[in-house]
Amino acid sequence: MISLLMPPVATPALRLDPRAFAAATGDLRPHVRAVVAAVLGLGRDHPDVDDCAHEALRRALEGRDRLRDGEPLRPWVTGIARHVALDNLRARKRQRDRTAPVRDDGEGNVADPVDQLADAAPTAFDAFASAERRDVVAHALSALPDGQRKALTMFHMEGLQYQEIAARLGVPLGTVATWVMRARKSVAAAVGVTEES
Amino acid sequence: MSQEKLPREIVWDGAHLSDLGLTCLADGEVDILEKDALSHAEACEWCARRLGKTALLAEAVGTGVVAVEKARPSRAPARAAHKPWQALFAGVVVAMLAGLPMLTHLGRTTSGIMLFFTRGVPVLARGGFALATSHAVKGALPIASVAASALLVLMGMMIASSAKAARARGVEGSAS
Repeated sequence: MISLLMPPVATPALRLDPRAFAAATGDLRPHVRAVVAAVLGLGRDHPDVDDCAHEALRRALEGRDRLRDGEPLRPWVTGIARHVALDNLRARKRQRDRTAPVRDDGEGNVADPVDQLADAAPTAFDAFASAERRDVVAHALSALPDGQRKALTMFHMEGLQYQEIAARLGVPLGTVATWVMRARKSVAAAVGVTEES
Repeated sequence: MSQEKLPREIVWDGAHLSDLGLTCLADGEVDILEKDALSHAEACEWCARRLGKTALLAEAVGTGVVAVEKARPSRAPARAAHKPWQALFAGVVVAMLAGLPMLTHLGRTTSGIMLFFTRGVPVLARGGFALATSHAVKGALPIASVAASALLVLMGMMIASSAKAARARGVEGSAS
């Protein structure tokens, strides 16, 4: 269960104390498993998902020195989980290519999900990472309603929580949650990315 | 800060979590949801799958937003842009002060400048005209034009290539 008191951001004390860091990231295990399962296209109980989640949390623990003070923990761990899952996908794809080089899809057989996801999974992130897409994102951000844009940038840039954003903008908490969700979907749609990507 | 909770009707969509509820979970906004939302996301395979995708989308959009905002020129450098003018003015003043001792030689300098314009410039002009109208230079002019054009194109390609590389480095740096 994710602790309600979990520090949302990195602190020097958290980085210096491996046990505290392991506890904080351990609380993110369900989140990490969900991310890995989404990338792999597998159920959360699949052994590969469990292995990847464990590996992601291990890498997070080992690489905690790379965290900057005040950097939100959750997206950082999410990024590690995504990388680990993609590595797993590529390994599975290589393994499959070695063991079954010829695919018989002429008889109505569906291609293995591994082959599809190996190409599709990184698309969402890569679409945002390219320099060309930065202009599209900038345009999408400027086209957002003022409240949505402020809420999204406050969350991602300043690392504010919903309640802090609501207090700053003087709007109800539910409005902030709705603004963040809608703004994110609008920006993603502008880049050509959906949650199904 | 009080632990205000979101209304159930926007967190739930029937028996499953709504997109908004999943967005809150993906953003780590656990404390504004009722506990059953979190336990449902852990127990329900469908919602867990959607939570994973929502978290991936949040991370991707967050990366894009941070890259854009970091690339955007901030207000502080805009104010600092006035400073070069002040430094330039100060430099000119210092240069003028440093040149004050030369005022004692102003007469000799002035006559030298006058001599340059009355004799040197006409000689240079005649020489340049003779060179420009010579047969050898006339023949080489088309080649020089082509070479200059090629040089300009080459410089343009180099600038475009370095600008593209710099932008790519900027994106990599913000993503890491």
